[in-house]
Amino acid sequence: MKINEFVKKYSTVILLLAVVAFFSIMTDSFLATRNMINILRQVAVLSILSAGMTFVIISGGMDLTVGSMLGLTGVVCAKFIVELQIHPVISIILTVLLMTLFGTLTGLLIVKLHVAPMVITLGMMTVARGLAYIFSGGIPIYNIPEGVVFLGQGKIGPIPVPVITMIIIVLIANYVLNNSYYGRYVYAIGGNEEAARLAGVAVDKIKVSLYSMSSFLAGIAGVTLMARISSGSPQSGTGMEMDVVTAVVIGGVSISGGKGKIMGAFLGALIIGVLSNGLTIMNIGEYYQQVVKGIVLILAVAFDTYTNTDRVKKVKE
Amino acid sequence: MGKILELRNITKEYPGVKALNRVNLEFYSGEVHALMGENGAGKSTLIKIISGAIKPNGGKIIFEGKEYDEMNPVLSQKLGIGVIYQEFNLVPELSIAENIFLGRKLTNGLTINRKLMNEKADELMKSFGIDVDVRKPVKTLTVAYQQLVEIAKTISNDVKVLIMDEPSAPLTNREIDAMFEIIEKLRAKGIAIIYISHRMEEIFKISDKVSVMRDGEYVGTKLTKDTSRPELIQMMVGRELKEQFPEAKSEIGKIVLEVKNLSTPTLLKNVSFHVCEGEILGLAGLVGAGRTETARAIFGADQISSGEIYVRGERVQIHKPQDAIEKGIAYIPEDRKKHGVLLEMSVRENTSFIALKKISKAGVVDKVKDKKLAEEYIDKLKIKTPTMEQLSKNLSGGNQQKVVLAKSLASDSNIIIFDEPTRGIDVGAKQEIYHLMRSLAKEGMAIIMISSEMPELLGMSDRIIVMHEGKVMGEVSGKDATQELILEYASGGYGKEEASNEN
Repeated sequence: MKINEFVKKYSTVILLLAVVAFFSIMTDSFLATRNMINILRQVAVLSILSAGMTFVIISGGMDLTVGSMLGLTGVVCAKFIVELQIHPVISIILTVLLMTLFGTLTGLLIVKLHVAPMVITLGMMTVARGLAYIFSGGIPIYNIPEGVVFLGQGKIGPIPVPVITMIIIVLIANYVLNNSYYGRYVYAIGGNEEAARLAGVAVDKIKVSLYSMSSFLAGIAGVTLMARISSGSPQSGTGMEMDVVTAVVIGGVSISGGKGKIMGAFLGALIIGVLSNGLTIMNIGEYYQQVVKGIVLILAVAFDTYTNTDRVKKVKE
Repeated sequence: MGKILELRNITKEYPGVKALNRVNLEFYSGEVHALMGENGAGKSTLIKIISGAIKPNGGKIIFEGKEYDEMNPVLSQKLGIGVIYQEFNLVPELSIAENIFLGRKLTNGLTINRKLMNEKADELMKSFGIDVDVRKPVKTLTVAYQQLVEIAKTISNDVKVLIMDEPSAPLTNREIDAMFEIIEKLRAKGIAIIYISHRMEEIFKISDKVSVMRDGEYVGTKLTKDTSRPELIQMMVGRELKEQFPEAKSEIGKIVLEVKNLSTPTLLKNVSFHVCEGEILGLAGLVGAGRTETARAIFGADQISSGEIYVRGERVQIHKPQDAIEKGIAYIPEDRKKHGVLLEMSVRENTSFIALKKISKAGVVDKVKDKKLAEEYIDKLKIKTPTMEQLSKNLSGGNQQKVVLAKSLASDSNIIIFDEPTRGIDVGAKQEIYHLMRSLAKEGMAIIMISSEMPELLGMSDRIIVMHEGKVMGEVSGKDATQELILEYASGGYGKEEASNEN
């Protein structure tokens, strides 16, 4: 493999290593094992959402609802458990199921109304946030039982539960996208929807399933987040959708669809996590962090575009 | 008239490839100069150098006696060099008039003088013999009309040299004749026309001179009246190539697909025909006759309003492409890149795409079977690709077409509808596609071939049905199958309602 091919293929890994190297040199505490595990815990919710978003964006779609879904999930689940006194396990299953249905509805609207996913999910994002405030009365619901809190704060051995959840989901998502026919259909829809349709792909059904899946994962992420902050807060996940899109795009997933990998998006989420963590250790404030994240996003995508610009030679007959 | 443009020792190198090697060509005003060569011969590179879209590594461009080392798009436009590319440069949302005058100002002080612009555009289109509302957005036009708008846009710029890159590809015979009339007018005005085409008939009809290129080299120039088809083909391929269609016909068996009274809400009216095992059925007609619509209706890509479809004697309901695929019907679309090949996917992923569910267990694709399918069809269809992992977008047109075919064959189709199977494919690859089609028929498949190329229809088909304005006008076969008869039916002639479809 030539050097430029290598750089192209592993650009996200190289970027991650560069960021890690930078913080390791600049600070003493960054590279500590404890901090590494801490970073993983911090990016768990982001990574779970990124997995779903990767599918959606590869199909040529967009799901802006995921941030609001975190809030809605937390409120609904907390309400079931705390106020309606439903068994926590049943509450969680019920909540995730409801969120999945919400995603199905989003998908159906996109497919049936022929309106751009960006617009429909923008609308549904506002709806979901509104519902979260309505159900909670605008204030967080506390008193989440210990067993549930374990899902967000507990550890199995040295590893936090959210990290385990994240690893399981990322691995499954990666396997499905790479090895199932469903995954290949998703690429085809994003690459050329009409060609996929003419090849017998049930395009509409798959699209609906994608938004259902994204919301299903948002449900799981939402429960994790609720457990981590020990409350169902209607404000949870505000603006999170943009972090998710940023992670996915940094990870090399093409915003116009058809191209990308789950592992890329996962690396993208890690890069964001490492940046937040490292900059915080360096005592750089939240406001500056936003500027840095924005610049990294632009650089990562510009680099990707640069290395991918038609330098492929045509194969002659 | 005088020499207007000369290319001297033009060379263009890409890493590892010499796209053009010391090419010398001269062009004269008032002359139609055809440029021929297989895909990859360097024609497109050459015209891009003339228009300034790319820069040569060596050589001189001499325009009206003045030497240039290279062109750029602004300079070439200023000098009066106009190019009509294969892909149109039109803004679909804007009107015909706005497109024609795009980038040039016809103003009343600050605002656009829409009235003047529309008048001028109208005048221009009328001079082509076309009566069309120039305020209509370009996206509402057929490809043929878009082509004419493109020509109007280019020549409204006072060009001295007009380069046309495969201008006839999207046009029907009648439209090509109209375009030729326009070219005649431009020639009479003293414009030098560089005409690139794969189609021999056109070259002999319209050009004064033919230059041939091969593998980036200039081969030679002939006066059109002094040369012949075989000579040009030999120059292009560098060897004697037998024209053109596979000889032996296949054995025709039972009826496989029968369509009865197929109608669609927009165009088709009671279309009925059948096709048998081992048969190639040609589907002739002008653009807009309803041939593609018929194919799409059978394939379930568009809705039908009434009609029946029978596969092997059994009535089938086809509402979507999946239904058709399950019945063994395949559709190889006209627009390869838009509807056929998945450009961002590899040859392997394309080949197994339709058959994916069949080679999956519990939703997981069987990698071994996946590779085997690709290997099998790369071999069987002789797809030229370095590896099966090559992205389809990097293949040539002919090989992309084979990939689309592989995709359908790998899913066990036995009724294959080809829509303009050789459009934009060079001579050598065409031959291969023809032989493939015939050998598929010999294997017992039923083939429907939609084509606008008369030699192809006559050379390949066992039987031809001709459509006009959504209706089947007639059927020809054997000795009756002549160009004249087909054209007569295609233009709605002979007043026949519908030919008998019983054998």
